[in-house]
Amino acid sequence: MSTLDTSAIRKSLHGRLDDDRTIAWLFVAPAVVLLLLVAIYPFLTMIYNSLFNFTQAGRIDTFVAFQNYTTVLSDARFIGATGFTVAYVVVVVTVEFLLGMGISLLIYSKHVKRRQLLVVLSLPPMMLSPVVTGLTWRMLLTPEYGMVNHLFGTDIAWLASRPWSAVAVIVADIWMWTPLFVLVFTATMQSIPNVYYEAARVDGMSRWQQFKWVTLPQMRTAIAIVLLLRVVRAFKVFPKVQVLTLGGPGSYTETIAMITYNYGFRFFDLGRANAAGVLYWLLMFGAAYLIFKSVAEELISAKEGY
Amino acid sequence: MLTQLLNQFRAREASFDAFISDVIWTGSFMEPGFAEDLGPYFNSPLANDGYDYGDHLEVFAKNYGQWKGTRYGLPWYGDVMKLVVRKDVLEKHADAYKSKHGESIMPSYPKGYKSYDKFNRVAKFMHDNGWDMGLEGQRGWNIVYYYPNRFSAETGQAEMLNENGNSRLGSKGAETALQHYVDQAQWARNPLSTAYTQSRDQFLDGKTWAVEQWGTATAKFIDKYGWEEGVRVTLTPGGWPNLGGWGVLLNTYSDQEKKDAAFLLAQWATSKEMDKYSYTEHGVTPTRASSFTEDIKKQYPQARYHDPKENPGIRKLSLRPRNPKYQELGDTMQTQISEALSGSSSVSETITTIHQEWQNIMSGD
Repeated sequence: MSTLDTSAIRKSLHGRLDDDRTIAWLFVAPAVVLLLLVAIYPFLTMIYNSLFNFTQAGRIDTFVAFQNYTTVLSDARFIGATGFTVAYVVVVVTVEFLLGMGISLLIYSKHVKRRQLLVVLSLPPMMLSPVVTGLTWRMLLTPEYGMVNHLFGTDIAWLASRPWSAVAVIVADIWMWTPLFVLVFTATMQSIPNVYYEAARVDGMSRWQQFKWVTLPQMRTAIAIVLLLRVVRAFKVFPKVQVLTLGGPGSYTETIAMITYNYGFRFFDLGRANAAGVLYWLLMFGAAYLIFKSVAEELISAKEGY
Repeated sequence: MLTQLLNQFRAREASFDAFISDVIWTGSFMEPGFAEDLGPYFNSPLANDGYDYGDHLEVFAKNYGQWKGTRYGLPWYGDVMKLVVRKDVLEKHADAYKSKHGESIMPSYPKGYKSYDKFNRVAKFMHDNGWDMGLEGQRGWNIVYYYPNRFSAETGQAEMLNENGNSRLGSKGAETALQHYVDQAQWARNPLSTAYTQSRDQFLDGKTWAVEQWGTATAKFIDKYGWEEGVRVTLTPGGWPNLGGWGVLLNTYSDQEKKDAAFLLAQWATSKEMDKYSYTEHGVTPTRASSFTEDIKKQYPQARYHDPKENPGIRKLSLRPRNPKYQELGDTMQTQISEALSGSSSVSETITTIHQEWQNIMSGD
């Protein structure tokens, strides 16, 4: 009967545990496994499924290679939805950024008291679900009983005509998400040491120069993070538009998320839905990458980790 | 609800034994084999002797439960679109209209206006005299209810797809039908913002003189304005109202013991007694010939509208495609017609686009 030489194993294991790289891998392994399960595996499945046609019963049918991609890319509604979504993201994030910065500067002004209260009062729209936001604006904008037409003395079909339906969904988003910019920007402004402004004033800087050379650089990290979050989130817009306009009139306000949902869950064409999902992901990844490259990369790589 | 049900079927979900299906969903459930063939059940001891399947009017028996010659469902909830008009309002304009157009302004009961041409003349006249009609033109499924009323009235065809699955929308009649719809938007109250509940509320609030609506809503109108004092309910102009309604089906994946109970439940829910109850209490359309008793006709004079003996037009119903691809066909139709109603594309361009897209969808391109 042979005996197991445990001392050799202990020695080998002990040696490995002394190795920093092994320990680092052991620490990150749970996170990597989790990431593989909840993000990488579904993503790879999506790519795999996009290469097949499915039966009405939801089972994989025939391999069609890239046919689903050509179908999606030749669908005028997908192209239109992509154009609308990109325009929507650019407009809402830009306006929310400018409004958020403006409101934050007003709140941060030395003349304003009870800053915390003002910030808290601005938050409720952001706390509502997109469906509730959509329903609220739908009631405000309905021509029959809505408050907006009543206040302005107009007779506009806000949710069913061009260009007003696009204006309506954009305004609803700006109303909902500007508070996020206010919250983040105000909190960041509060954390900028006063000594920087005192030094700037000693150097004779105007208010605009102080904003440009002190405030903005100090806020760069916050701006990068909030922009990244909002761009990704705005690309995924779905329930608000679904409730407000159903993508209409025609397909004027249809978004990529809506048309992808339609492919999968209304037309039951899972191959086409997966192909649209991959294209959708590529677009979002591209946008996020651009933001990361332009404002966030050096901030994250500037410091070493723990 | 369709998406939720289909996803459960795809997961072979057995947590429910019976389910209800909208008339246009039948293909989606029956084609992939999600619903039970009821033939063996009716040949078993579970069949109730008094059930009398043949008592269901053919149009409902066929459309609520049959697919390619097999019986999968039983007619449970009948519904047919109707044109409801404010008779009291029209009477005030009757003389002026007659002197201008040389015809009666009032739709006859129960057959209604003979065509959408005639209806449009009245709609324009009423608009010029300060009364808008109700028109559901908001992007949504309501567009796919409204268009078939007009399509069938113009073409004399009940279905927009032929027996081979080809689109019939390439015809002149299909274009005229859309032209009627688009023209009506000029004489309607907020047509682009109006869907099912809005058109009902406009009429109940006294803001419109006419509206095409489903049966249950018309019961509310009669309650509010009074039968023949305030409102008159007729077939939609041209006499091809759209068919709605639901059937009861059995889940293929549920276990056998419970399916037997489900079959008993389905027979009870669609029995003669329940058909009368649903009509008299909730105003839904009877699906059985036996529901038109003398008592009921005396108590509910509007029953003449539903009775095929008195109103044979009730057998001529327009149908949305009862096809597994209905969702995509319907979505294309509502999106494109929404463009035409909002003035973004011409009528001929719109109907041509829908026709081509329907052909592509049905051919799988």
